[in-house]
Amino acid sequence: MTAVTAPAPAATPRARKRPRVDVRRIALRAVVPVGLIALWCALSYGDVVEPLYLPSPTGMWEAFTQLRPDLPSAIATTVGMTLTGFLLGTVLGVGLGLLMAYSATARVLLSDALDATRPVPVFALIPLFLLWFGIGRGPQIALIALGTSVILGVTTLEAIRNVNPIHVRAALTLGATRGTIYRRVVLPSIFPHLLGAIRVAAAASWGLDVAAELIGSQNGLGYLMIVRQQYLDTAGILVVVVVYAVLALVLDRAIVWLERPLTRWTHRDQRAGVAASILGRA
Amino acid sequence: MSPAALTITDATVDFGAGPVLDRVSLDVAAGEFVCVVGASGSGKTTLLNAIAGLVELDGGTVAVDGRQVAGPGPDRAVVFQDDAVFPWLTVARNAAFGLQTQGVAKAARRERVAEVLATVGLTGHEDQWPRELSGGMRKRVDLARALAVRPPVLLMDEPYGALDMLTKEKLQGDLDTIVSHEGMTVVFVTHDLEEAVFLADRVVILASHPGRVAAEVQIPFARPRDPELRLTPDFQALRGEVLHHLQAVAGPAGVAA
Ligand SMILES: Nc1ncnc2c1ncn2[C@@H]1O[C@H](COP(=O)(O)OP(=O)(O)OP(=O)(O)O)[C@@H](O)[C@H]1O
Ligand SMILES: [Mg+2]
Repeated sequence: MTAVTAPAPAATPRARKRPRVDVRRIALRAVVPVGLIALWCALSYGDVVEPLYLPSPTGMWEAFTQLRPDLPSAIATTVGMTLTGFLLGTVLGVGLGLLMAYSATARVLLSDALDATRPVPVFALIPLFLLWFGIGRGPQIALIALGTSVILGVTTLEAIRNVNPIHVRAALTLGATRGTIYRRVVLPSIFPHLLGAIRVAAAASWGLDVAAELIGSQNGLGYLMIVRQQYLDTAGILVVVVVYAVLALVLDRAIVWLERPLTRWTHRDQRAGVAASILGRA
Repeated sequence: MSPAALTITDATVDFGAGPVLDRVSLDVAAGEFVCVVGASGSGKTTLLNAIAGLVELDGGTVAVDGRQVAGPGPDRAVVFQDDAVFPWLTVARNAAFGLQTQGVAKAARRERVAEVLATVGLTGHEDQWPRELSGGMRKRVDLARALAVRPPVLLMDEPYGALDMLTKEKLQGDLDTIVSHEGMTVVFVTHDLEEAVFLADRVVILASHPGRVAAEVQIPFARPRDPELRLTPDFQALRGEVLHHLQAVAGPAGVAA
């Protein structure tokens, strides 16, 4: 073994600045989850709380093995419905937002309506949806799409309002036409905001799916939850909640992974140094 | 493109609270470098924006080589007072923006970008993101983007106002070299009298409220100019002359601006 460290290979600036493994940080991060799990075990195995209210880890495992035959088709139904609604809503919401960005007429026509829609809770529309569309997959997907599109429409419009005017003026003095400015200034400017909103909308779409399934469905995770509730099977309900959580996490990670190459220009992965000690490392 | 003559005739701009520019007339010959100085709020940026076509005139005209302008265009490239680099494009793509809007073919574009980045001293930084650059380097990107389209008229609004003295002098020297080589009509707004005298063929002093041309000083030094020029008595005498005009314009109450 030599005492001399080999010179680092020509590293990118980011690789050179990669933070060391921080044991204290990892330990700190573990405190809350480990503590919660310990508390859960103590409360459930110690018979402090009845299994009806808080099932034990083993109770949940049993519920899981019991539910396993039903899970694949329930997951398939729910994922299919949520993703369909989410994608439809994204296309609709972003589409409307972009239309408003491009056309002043569309902006005048739609922006007030969209601003007024923003504070209306989508869940409050469930009875109307039932009345108009009845129960079934169609209205459920429509509900998810509606919620998603409102979130994205509002964000797109807001992001467009926040485009830095100096970038537009610079483009104008470089001979850019309206269409060019739209494609090469407005779109890239709003992109990071849109991706943030898409993540929010994706998370919301699972909640919308639960609500949609609770109002009436014959299959799916939400439906499974209602059935377990009728059996007073709290462990079963919790298993479904965990499945929802995992699905939401997977979708969120997938979006982050897809967006990464498109937002390399932002500061997102550059939060280091003094600011990081205040803002935290993302 | 060869430099163009710029003719501003009776330009008047009023945002609603009295004229900001009041019948400003200014003739800039093809290839001439004019610096505009004046107190803060005297309408320097407004004048530059009016030439650029970014502010509508309430009276008068702006013409490039005799053709009246109606709106912004690449014949009058602008380096703005604020940072205007596109943060979502790399240095090279920023520089290529104007070429692309004008449909310059890819090969020619690449060649011109390499050339213009070399001119402003950014060779080797082509693939960096603007956030990775210092303030001085970002200004060079702004300048490269404007120069790339070979504008007959270049408009610059206090481009070096936020930089330290050494960086500033370096960039002033570079700009002088570029202008000497390429031949360009330039209108350059600044607060810095030394900068104005070092760069200009003619310094124009604006009076405030409303903005109007109060005086002009010819700067007869040949180009390219030596940085040491700043230390010569001739240079300092001209700087003093510009300062006197400014003080006369500001009047006893105006010095606070
Ligand atoms: N869009 C606008 N609406 C209303 N007033 C404006 C507008 N732009 C500029 N003004 C006013 O016009 C006057 C001149 O502004 P301008 O920005 O041209 O000054 P300036 O000489 O560039 O100042 P500085 O040296 O501080 O940059 C100021 O009094 C300013 O308040
Ligand atoms: Mg200004």
